[in-house]
Amino acid sequence: MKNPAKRSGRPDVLKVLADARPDALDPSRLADPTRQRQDFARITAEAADNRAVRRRSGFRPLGAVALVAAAASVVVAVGTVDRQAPADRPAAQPRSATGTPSSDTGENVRVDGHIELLSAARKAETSAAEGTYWQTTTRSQNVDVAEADGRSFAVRNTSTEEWSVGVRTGTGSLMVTGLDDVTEPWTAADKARWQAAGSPGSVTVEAGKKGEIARSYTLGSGRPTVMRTNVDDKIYAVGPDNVSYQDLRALPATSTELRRYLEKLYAQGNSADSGASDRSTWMLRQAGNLVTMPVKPAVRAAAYRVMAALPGVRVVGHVTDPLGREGVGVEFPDTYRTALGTTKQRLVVDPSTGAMLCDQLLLVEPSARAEAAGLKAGTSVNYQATTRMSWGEHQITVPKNARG
Amino acid sequence: MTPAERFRDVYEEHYPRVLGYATSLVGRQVGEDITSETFTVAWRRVDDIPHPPLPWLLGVARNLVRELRRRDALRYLLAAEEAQRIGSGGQTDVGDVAAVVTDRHIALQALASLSDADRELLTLIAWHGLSARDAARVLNCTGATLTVRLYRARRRLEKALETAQAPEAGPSSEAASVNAVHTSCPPHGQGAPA
Repeated sequence: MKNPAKRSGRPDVLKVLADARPDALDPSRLADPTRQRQDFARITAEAADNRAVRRRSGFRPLGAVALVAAAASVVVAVGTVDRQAPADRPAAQPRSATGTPSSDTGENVRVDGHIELLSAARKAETSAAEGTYWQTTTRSQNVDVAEADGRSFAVRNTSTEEWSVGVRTGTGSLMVTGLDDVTEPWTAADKARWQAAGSPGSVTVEAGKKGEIARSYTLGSGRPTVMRTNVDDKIYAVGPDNVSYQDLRALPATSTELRRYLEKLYAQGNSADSGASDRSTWMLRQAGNLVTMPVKPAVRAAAYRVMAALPGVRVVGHVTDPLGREGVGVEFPDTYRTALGTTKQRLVVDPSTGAMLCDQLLLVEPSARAEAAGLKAGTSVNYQATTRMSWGEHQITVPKNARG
Repeated sequence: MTPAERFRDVYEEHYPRVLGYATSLVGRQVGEDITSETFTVAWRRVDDIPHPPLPWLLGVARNLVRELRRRDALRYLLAAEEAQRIGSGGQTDVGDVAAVVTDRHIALQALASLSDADRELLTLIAWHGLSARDAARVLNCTGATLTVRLYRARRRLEKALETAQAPEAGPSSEAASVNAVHTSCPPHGQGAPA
């Protein structure tokens, strides 16, 4: 490529290197006219709006905290409480959650989702109590494809989490995760394949975008873990900020103001040049999280209205969450590649109560491995379903066997 | 030429190169997103795109990758691992032509043994189509500095190639940088013990 000058009879090292370029990096092989065309259309259309809205340029310093937290944990190194897992996990809302589907399947189910979501907002406006501990119970499941002895089968981990956030001075916040924790073959067919593989006590699953990461699961039950989640009076994270109960109660209560507030937080943590769908995703996560916090009813309602108006966010009519409860689906703008295939993230909201029911990751297009293990499009490969969310006067009890 | 026409020309001509570069940093999937973001920036600043555009575009892509790294560490980590696999030839089809594969493996092995800085500089030139002067723009250093750095990086690559060739590298020789990735699920947080 560059000058093939010779040194001591050998070709120039840069030429040697150029010849060794992996095919996967060869621009002529990378051309994908469809994607290229789509991007072009999107960029020239969408960026034109953005120009009008935000005239900033340059890269801004990042408050990396929030999104790194989103990638990893409930409690971030700096002590932020953030309920986002990689796939994000808003949860709940005061909720009786006896959770039987309202079984009016049939007519009326394809009502405009946006209207339904706004009706959730109206319902959310009504509940007004206050207490000492804001308590949520979440049921989670995660499905993976494992391999043992040349056989592949689906395994699932299920567990329950209790989180009790003290909002009065001097009260603490406790989270107990891994209650009733069980890892097992998913279906009877999976169990049969696992047994055929010699019923191994631990199995390896592939994770990462393309299954490049090996992770080991031990089958059977696990122990709960308890942790304190507050840092002094800071009890939650909203975007990059740690907030106290007083901060939460002071959040803007109209959708316009709340959107502005969130947009401002977003701008603190992200460059003005990140894509519009990134922003929608971020805003949806934050709004979804707010709904699950002890905010004022009007703020919760505003959060639903913000969600309903986000560009790129799809609101779908009636859907059923993994616990069989019906609600409105609110889908994130982008799909994500995982080892199990392409997935999309969806929140399920109960329009009749304004409760956040579930946060789930649905398989859109199973990978070959996932398909071989029997996972189909539409499978919920990961979910956190909130079964209870309400005020309590007493701190939760921590099981004796919990790891601290 | 209107700004829109200018952008279209830049886009058509450079999309694959930017994608190749981004893929080398973060793999194909994330690379496509970075490429798309890069051109979104280019569109917003179409009046500022210098000539030639490529070094500027790669500079933008490079910044976006850094930003991703800060903003979403886990996603970056996974993406960078994929890129590393690609960069070490892990994803190339192993063809029948054993000799070619071997040469390539030796070169990639040698490359993998260099420092990140050397590798970045050498590949910008050898793989991503930049002249030394353009590479200086991407790396934000002066031409003089770059000349020195390039000279040294070449010498180190030569040495590494000699080393890699020395033990009669057979077709089964492994690229040094192919390492098994073992990351477990991130812990549920670093909460204080209750």
